[in-house]
Amino acid sequence: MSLLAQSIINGLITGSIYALVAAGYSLIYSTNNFMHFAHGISVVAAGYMVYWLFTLAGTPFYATCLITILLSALFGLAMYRLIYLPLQRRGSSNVILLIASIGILIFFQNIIQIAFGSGVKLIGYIEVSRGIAFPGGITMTVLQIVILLISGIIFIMLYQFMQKTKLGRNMRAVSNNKELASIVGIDHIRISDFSFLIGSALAGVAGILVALEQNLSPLMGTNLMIKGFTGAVIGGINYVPGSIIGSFVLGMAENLGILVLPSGYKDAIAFSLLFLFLLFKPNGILGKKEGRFDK
Amino acid sequence: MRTGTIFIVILVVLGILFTAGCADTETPGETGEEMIVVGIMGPYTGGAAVYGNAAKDGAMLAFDEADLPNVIIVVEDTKSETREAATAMNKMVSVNNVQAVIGDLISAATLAAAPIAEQNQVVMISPASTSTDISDAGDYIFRTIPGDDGQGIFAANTMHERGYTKLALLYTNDQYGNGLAGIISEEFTAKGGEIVADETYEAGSSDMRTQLAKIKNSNPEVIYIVSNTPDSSVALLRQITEIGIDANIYGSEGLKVASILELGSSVEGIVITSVSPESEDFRQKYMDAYAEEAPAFAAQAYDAATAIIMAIEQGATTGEEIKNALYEMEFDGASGHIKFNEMGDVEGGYVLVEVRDGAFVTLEE
Amino acid sequence: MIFSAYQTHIFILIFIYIILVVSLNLALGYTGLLNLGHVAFFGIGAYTSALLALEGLTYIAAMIAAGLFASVFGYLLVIATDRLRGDYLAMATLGFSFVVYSLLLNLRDVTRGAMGIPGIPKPTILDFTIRTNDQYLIFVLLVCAISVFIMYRIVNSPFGKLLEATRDNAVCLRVLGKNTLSLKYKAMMISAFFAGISGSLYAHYITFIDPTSFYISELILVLTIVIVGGLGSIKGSIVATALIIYIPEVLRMLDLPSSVLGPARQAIYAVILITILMIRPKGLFGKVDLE
Repeated sequence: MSLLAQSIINGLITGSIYALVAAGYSLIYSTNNFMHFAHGISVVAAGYMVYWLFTLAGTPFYATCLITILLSALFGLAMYRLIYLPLQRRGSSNVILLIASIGILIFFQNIIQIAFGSGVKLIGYIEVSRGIAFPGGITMTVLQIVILLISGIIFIMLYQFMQKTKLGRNMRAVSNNKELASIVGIDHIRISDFSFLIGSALAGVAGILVALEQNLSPLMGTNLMIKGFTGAVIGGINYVPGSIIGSFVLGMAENLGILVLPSGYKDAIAFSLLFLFLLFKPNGILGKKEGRFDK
Repeated sequence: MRTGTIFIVILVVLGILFTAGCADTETPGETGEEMIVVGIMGPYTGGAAVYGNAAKDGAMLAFDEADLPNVIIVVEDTKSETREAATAMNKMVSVNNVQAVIGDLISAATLAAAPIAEQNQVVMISPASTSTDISDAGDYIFRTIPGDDGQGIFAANTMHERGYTKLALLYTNDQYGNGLAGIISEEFTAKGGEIVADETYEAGSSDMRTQLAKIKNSNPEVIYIVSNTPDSSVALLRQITEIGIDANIYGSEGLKVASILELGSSVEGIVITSVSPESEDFRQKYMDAYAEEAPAFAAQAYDAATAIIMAIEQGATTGEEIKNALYEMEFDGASGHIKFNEMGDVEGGYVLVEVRDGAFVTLEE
Repeated sequence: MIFSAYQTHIFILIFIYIILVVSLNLALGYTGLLNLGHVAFFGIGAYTSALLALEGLTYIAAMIAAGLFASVFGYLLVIATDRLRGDYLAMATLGFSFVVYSLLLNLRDVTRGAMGIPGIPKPTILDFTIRTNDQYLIFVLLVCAISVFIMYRIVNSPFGKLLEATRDNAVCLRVLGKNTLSLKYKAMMISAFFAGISGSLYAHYITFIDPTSFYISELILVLTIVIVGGLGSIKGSIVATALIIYIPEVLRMLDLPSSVLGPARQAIYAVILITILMIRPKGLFGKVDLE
């Protein structure tokens, strides 16, 4: 019983990290319609930024977080303005942008390795200690509770932003129908700018939390990206709240699945779920966009 | 379109010429004296890069000390990939004309490169590949680290002798993890012990909480960890503490990386069944040269380099001569007594290393 | 031979990858199936051939079996994903390669899991065993030429035109009474067949395979080559294979300090890749766009 409860909690913690990655990814995807795999490197870059500012340079922790989120947002904007937009202007299709994003990912992975070395880095802000034991045999650390809370708050804010603000509504309009949106005078490039800014800022938050909760290595982005992407698809990649829920479903499925199956199947469970969703519910749990079928 | 085609064809032709051209410029014998080229290959990018760099540094230390005038070193990255390893070996064999190669670390990469070395009569000494398949890889294939079977039996014996009966295994789902964990599991049950949990994780992943929850639930007395990516090692040791597992923790030499010490008090008391521990002398030398504790496989790489240096000093110049010299030689290296048997393997010694006061301390048995 | 063993090795790899890349282009560029599961066919072919050859099957039979078995999976994949298009098909097929990877890793009784399969025999054809790389190069060149020729004939046949019509306007084709599903799975089966053949050639050349040889980095490599070469261009695929495989090799000749050698080369490779895309945003010989 306690094992089941603990696994559910583990699923939530894993899910919240996936969800932070997936939310930014799906925001960018829904307004731009191409797979921005370099989103994973935004997370890693943010993590290393924390390491550099806080652990090496001794900047106060909260200032570090603020600078990191800001720089992450700018990093995302720079990728859009310097690489993707020029390619789009030259008439590149979305698959070319996908390859370009992989190129960006490889480039920064290796630059980070040259700058910081291939070893594992720890932030060391919080002493590693035994978690708090809750009734029902659940153990959680304070940081994990904080992560759940922060991601919860961010998701609510994001939802409010998408529903209530003009910018958020414009973003949804673009993601629903580009042509119609441009007819009513929504500037697509400006919307893309903002989606990269906000999406990458979310990656920054994810990077900070991952850096605190786990550790840093140059290659961690790929894994996070694949899982965030899987979660986004399961939930509905075109709809941010959907991709958040999908990520939690994924986290749960992975952690509960290996209670029954050998743990080597953890990734297999995740990808089978992805595959099954695409076969039977390609728009994801909450995905709204119809018309993707070859009717 | 036509100009584009011509441009690209020219590029490819230039590529062919460029990769070929270097074969001429680097052929030995320019200085009048016969130069011997020794290659070093390993993962310098990818998940195992920490170990690759450690081995490279260890080997370079030996070459710097020996400072042989007739030896040239070339280094190739294999990214821990089999195709890259085969390509790197081919490149070193035919472009650089190497006679001996130190590498690879990952067993899969070593196995992919070994047939090329064997066919071209180039000696290959791996400082880290422990797969049992490597013993049969060929006459020219050596290693300065004993195979999984030795360490597996040692680890199982140690835990058995210390009175543990309930063991949980947690290992990377790769060649190294499966190989070593399989042997430990066999040996430990043969001695009457019980494997209460058998859990794996993907190399490089950093979320093992549910695997650990399952282990916690199985109430083991001891957990044995086989890990060969430092990020996973750090993550899982941290999560063991956080989730509150009280069992004693043992692990293979992959855990012996400086970054786990940063976890502080939570890693105190971890016992590592280390193969061929580095000598005090070597630790000091490594510390002087690189200002850090010698990581796993640095000493083994140092010994691999020493073996090649000794062979060259005895007058060997070709791969075949180096091979013959290796089967004859015997010396006390940085990682213990080195004597290659007919399979090219070393006997190796095993010691227990414990984390005490934030440092790796070798236990006297 | 006029080439060094290293160059021979690179040529062998290039010819193996040409089969793989051209066959992917058949599905992706010509038929418009955004298939990211191609590397799974490659892996299935490699494992099938290696395991059968180790069981004592003659090489040619093992190679054909590799192609056929991969093509069965190609059929199943199309049947399963028939309703999906564009990015969704890409994601589903990506999921398919991950699932196949996980199975190769976890079905230890059949595939030896992560331990991989060492000692795969070199091909023997009619009592003649291919031992040296020079012989292997000739063999691979032959298989590659035949494969590319067949695929070239296919795309230039009326059937090939129908495939392109499936890509460009499936609805219209259906109005004309053509069965687009049947066209799609035929294309995918042919594509998977040749991927399986190239997997077999790869396995028996390197003589050691493990699941990591058929995972993300491989997928990225193959996809990059097809896209850089240009969708719907066999010539583009062939040129890009040579180009993309040669770039890292030329970078090996750069004299970099050994402490940054690995990552620096890869970073330079990434810059070159993005530069190529900037200069030719539709790929080198790209004729078509996918939505």
